[in-house]
Amino acid sequence: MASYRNTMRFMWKDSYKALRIFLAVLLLVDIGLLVFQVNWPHLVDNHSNNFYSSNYGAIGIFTLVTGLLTATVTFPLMLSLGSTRKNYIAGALSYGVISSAGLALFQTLVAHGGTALLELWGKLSESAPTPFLTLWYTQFTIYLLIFLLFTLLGTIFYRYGTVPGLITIAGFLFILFFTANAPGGTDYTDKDVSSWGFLLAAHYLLALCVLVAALLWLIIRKAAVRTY
Amino acid sequence: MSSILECRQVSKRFGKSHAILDATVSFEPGTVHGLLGANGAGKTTLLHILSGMIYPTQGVVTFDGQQVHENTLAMSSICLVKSDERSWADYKVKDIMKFCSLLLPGWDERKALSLLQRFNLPANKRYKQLSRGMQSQLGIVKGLANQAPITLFDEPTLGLDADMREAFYELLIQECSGSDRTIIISTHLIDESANLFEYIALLEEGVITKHQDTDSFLEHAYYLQGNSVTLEQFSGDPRVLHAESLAGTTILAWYGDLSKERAELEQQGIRISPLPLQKLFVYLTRKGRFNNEEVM
Repeated sequence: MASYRNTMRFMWKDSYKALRIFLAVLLLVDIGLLVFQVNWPHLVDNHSNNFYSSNYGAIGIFTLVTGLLTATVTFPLMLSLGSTRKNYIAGALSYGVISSAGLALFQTLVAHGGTALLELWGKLSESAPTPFLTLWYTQFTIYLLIFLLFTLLGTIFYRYGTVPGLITIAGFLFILFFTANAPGGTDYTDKDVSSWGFLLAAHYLLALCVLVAALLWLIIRKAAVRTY
Repeated sequence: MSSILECRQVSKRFGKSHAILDATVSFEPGTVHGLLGANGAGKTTLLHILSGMIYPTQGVVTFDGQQVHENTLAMSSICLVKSDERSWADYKVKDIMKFCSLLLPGWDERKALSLLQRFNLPANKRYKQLSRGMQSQLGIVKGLANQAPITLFDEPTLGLDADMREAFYELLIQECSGSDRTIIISTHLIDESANLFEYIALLEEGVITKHQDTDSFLEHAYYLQGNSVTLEQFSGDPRVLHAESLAGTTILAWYGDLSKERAELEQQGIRISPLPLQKLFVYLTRKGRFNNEEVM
């Protein structure tokens, strides 16, 4: 237990600076967008759900990079400091869940807080955003899946090298190509936010997360730290 | 004395080539071992296997009787100091020290601070911005401040100037005197560190060919110097590792029992002197047991 606690403290120490800078920049951009929304609404999309849409992409990219770094930097770093692969995977998965939940909460708070301010100032022209919990939950599953997929990709690159890594990317794209438009797939955009289908898609993503995490462990459990 | 770290019939294959082949070796507590081998002999791979960072293709490594790989106690008790810690590249020295304090159970904060001061390492610089020597010093800080029962140093003096290398040897002697720590050092600067080693493990093309205490390792190693005609009789003798001739004088590097020939050779004016460890290592690892090198 002490070792898990120290692993989590290490994870926090390792990431909090980047996280703090990223969230501060994001918040500044959002405040800027809010100012634009109030004063020059024709310059920005004024639908409440899309108002902070740039955040989704930014957080997604941040999570993606974090996943890659977790595989290629945190893994050898932790093992060089006496951790086992089990400690690493427990720490990485816990960090993935906590950071995804935290980032989703940030995004949900910004979306709802911003919308509430616009409503207060009478500048909101469209409907209210997705319900708080629904928005948080769906964002959480998306960020967690991105984190896990890119940790998996980074691990494949780290353990097996460039060619297997590129083949995995091709595999990702292949799967995306055939599933993105499949009926009942995980595309949120064609679903009503209040519908069961919207939540079901998030449940699917969560199930996929569990699958990717299991795959990640299978690859990491015998992985070697590079000697160079 | 029972061994604290042991590897039994360990092999490691990368593709079709063997990095380590059937290595069986044990290390006793409170001893300092020199792991010697030519470039590519498998020293780094063996150290990574011993520390649990690489799984062997076959065989087992045990710490205090328990398997090392994926054993929390064993892996945190074995500290590997790599010659190049790539995963540290983007971190500041102070961050690395913080990580060490969080994850290494035997971390001695005060010792780490005093070593950082001794080596004059800047806390706010990133690892990749440090000179090669400073990177090695930071590795040494990790190895010495972590009071792990077993510490493995892979080329710890890479890039260090003579003064700092001496400082490292002094610190290591201080650390080991009266303690139960087991230290295994792989190095190419054999003469400098020879006095540290209580045991020598010789690795040749992935095979541990010798592991014995330094005194008995050197006991039968001599230079024989004298008249070429007198020494010619040993041409082809498997105990002769190397021969050099210059203007009627021959120097033989000898490794083996000399008790039968010694008195007669000395009577014939042959000078017999000890062979330094570095030279012995060079001649032993050089391909071909008898290498005549005529000068002039």
